[in-house]
Amino acid sequence: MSRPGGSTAAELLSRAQANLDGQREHALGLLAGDVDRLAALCAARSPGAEAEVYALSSALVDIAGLLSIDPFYEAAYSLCETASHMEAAGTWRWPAVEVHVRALSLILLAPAERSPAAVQLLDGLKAVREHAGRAG
Amino acid sequence: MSTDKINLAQTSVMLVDDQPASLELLASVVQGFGVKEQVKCTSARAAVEALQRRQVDLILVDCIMPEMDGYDFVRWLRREAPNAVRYTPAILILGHAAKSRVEGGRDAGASFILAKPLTPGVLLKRIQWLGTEERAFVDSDVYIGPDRRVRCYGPPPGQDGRRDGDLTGDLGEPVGGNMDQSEIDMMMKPARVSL
Repeated sequence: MSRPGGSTAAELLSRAQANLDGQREHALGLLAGDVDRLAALCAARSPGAEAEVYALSSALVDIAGLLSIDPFYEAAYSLCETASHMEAAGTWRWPAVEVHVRALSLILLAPAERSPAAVQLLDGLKAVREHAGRAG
Repeated sequence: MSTDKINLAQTSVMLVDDQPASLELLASVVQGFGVKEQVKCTSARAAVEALQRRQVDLILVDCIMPEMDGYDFVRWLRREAPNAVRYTPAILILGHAAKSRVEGGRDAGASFILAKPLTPGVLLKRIQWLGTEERAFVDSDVYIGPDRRVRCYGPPPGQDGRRDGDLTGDLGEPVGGNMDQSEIDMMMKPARVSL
């Protein structure tokens, strides 16, 4: 690491960020696809789909966690928390998932922007998450 | 930000993540750091197979994966991997998981546990820390991995910590009985990370 040559941290970070930016649109498209899949699961409400909801929300967290889109990340994390708790406690409620999916769709329109509307949505998700946490 | 140069042009990095999208995002960050080579694995099993045949300088591994997760992988790395790779620094990357699992990762023998959301700046800082730290490698019956007391030591001298609770390097008064020096020597294997 300390060998001669190399670049400053600022130069390395600039290149890393440029690489990330180059993949951003593609990654946001993947997030949108996963949110659509979650919406389809909510519409179908198929028994046994709980694990798939968690898997999709966990994938959202994995991708969003590298894109500096904190409001979207927080909403996805909230869905992970809610789904994992409801599944473990045997208190699954699809409306709690639907609220998250609608919020994710809206926040995805400006995923990095902590607008008043986004803050309000995240506050709402917090209430849903806490309610799900108390149940069971 | 430091103007010191960082040279990772001779560094091989293994990336392990079952999610292709997040694997590629992480790879693009690491590529930006100018590493020599990336070894991408879409499962911990694939990483285990690769490490039977070759060495790398650094491993970045996702925590949550089917079959063998990141914790089990690091445990394998420290306890069962070929000697040449057992001491490889490994950073566990945490997506959604209970915070209690952070301690699980530390106890598995990870060099660092990084929770998402993760920026290139935080990742580079941790890689820098690994390149400059002099933590001993502990090899005991109950734990194999870097000295876990990093939590008490806090970040390296001159570096700002990330958490409110990061402590300084000043140690407090000892508690409990002292171990015999020969016992300590038996457990510690000084190992300097080379990145």
